[in-house]
Amino acid sequence: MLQTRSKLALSLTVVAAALGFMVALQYKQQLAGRGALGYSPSDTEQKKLLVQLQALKATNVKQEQQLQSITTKIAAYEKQTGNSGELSALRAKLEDERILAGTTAVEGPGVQVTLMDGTPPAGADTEQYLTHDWDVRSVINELFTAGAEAVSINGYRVVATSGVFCTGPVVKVNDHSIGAPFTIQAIGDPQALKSGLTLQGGILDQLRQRGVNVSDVQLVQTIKMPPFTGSLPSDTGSN
Amino acid sequence: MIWLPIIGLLLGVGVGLAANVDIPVAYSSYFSIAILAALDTVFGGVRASLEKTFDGAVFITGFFFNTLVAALLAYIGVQLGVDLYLAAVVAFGVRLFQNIAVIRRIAFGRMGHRRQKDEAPVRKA
Repeated sequence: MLQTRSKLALSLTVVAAALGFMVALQYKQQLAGRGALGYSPSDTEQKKLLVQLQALKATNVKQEQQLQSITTKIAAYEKQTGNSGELSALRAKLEDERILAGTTAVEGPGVQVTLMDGTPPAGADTEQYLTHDWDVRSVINELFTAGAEAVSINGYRVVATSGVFCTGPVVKVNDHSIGAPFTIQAIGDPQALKSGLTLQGGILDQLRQRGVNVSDVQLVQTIKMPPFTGSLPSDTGSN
Repeated sequence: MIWLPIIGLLLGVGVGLAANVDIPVAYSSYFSIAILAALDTVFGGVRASLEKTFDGAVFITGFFFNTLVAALLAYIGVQLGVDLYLAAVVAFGVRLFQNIAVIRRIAFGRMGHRRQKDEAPVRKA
């Protein structure tokens, strides 16, 4: 009796060990398969990346604050440079250049237009009714050609180095992803800008013909635009 | 003595979690069917031991043989385009539940006997 019982226990132990091994292996495999698909808070690698991302974000905020304070300091120094005719002329020129470069906030009269995706009728080509990156680009180019001094898309300032790129369902402006509707504002001579946009057969007419929802061009008394906050290529600032 | 299998199970789980062994994804389904077969054999063994018809040699060979044959059957099924995999799952699943049911009945039966002996020796069914 005792012998059979010990034999039983022994064989059960061996088998249980083998079973446990197999089950654990399979469990591990399942876990690995699941981990590859999504975020799991227990993954150390992901944790590390998350911490890095948060640190980078914090540094970014700090750097932006620093930039702000340096800019105000520069402005203060410029005010102290005296008032001789030559200097104030230079200052005015500098200010104009800065507005064109987009590094200062600007305010002035201008126009505003909003591009929104149209609703395609059933069976129609949806592509045609969407607002694409090149549509936004064309409108901006038209505005600059008509003499706009400053342009922004959904509040992001467009400068010489800005691009408008399609990234899937959204458009990237200055590395910010924005989606439709696109509100494009431009500062300049409002009448000139408006006539540039509403030209017969011009860009807005083309867009409307394609089915994109284009608002009327509104004349705005004062548009406030933030400065460009992205980084400029290093060789622009070196001279 | 009864703790030995549980210790063995924990040992196996520990080794399995610690060991750096990977089953290729293609063989994953065979492995799961093998696990099912192994589980079935273990419960069969427990049942046999409760019914006092346990044979160590039969049990050990049955465990490894069943496991291998289950995996092999699933493999052949894939090669032939017949879902033998499902047949194995159903067969082992049914047997698993049957074995567990028998184990439960025997276990409860014993408990009932003991209670009758302890509390009311007069009331004999």
